[in-house]
Amino acid sequence: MVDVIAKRPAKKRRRAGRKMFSRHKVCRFCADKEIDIDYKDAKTIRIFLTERCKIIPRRISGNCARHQRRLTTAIKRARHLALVPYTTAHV
Amino acid sequence: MREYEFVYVIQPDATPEREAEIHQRIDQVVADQSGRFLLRDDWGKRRLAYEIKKFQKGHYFQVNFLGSGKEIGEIERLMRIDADILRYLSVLANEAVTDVETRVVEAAKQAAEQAQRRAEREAERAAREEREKERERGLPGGDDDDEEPRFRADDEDEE
Repeated sequence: MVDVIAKRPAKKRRRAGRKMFSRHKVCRFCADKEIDIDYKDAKTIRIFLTERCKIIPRRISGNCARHQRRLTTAIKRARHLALVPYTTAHV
Repeated sequence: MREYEFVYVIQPDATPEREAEIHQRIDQVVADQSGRFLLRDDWGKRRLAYEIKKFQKGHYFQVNFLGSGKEIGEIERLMRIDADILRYLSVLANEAVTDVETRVVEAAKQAAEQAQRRAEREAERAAREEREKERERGLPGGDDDDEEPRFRADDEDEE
């Protein structure tokens, strides 16, 4: 019991510190030349969508401008073909 | 020549004859404009990410062909008219295919690979359905709901 209470503040402080120095993110498509962006590949595209199926911004995913641009068109094509939802189901 | 990739979704209740007719019409347009047919891939009946015209599923097809670009307008016009088409999308896959014959041979190879993958998928699905059927036979009653019996089955196993 005592241990848990003692540990808590330390953990919190560490997390706050980590937030300050955000790790440099590398574009996934630049790092791995093997994976190409394809609107037919719903599984890969899903990675770049939030739970509500919004496109994850570059600021979060760390994609470079060129690949984010290609990804966006791929997502929009996939949405049109109903491979990926525009939004979560309602009603 | 340019290579185009054309994906279309046919409503799931369409007969195989009706589907064949649609394929044939597309091929006809390509042939009329002296394009080259490359390959057709059947993605199978897939669940749609959202409902279209009250359908939950759609039969996806992809066709690749070489052409000048005039075909696209005509194919899209046909797709718009056809009530059985839920969605279509045409994409320019390669702006300048210089070596037409090589690409044709390559596409044939690609098509063969796709057919093989499709057969594997089909076999896998058949096996899974078989397993599910067996499980259903194992526990009589309660097949109205999709999920609940499954959970109940797990509970029974633990006891």
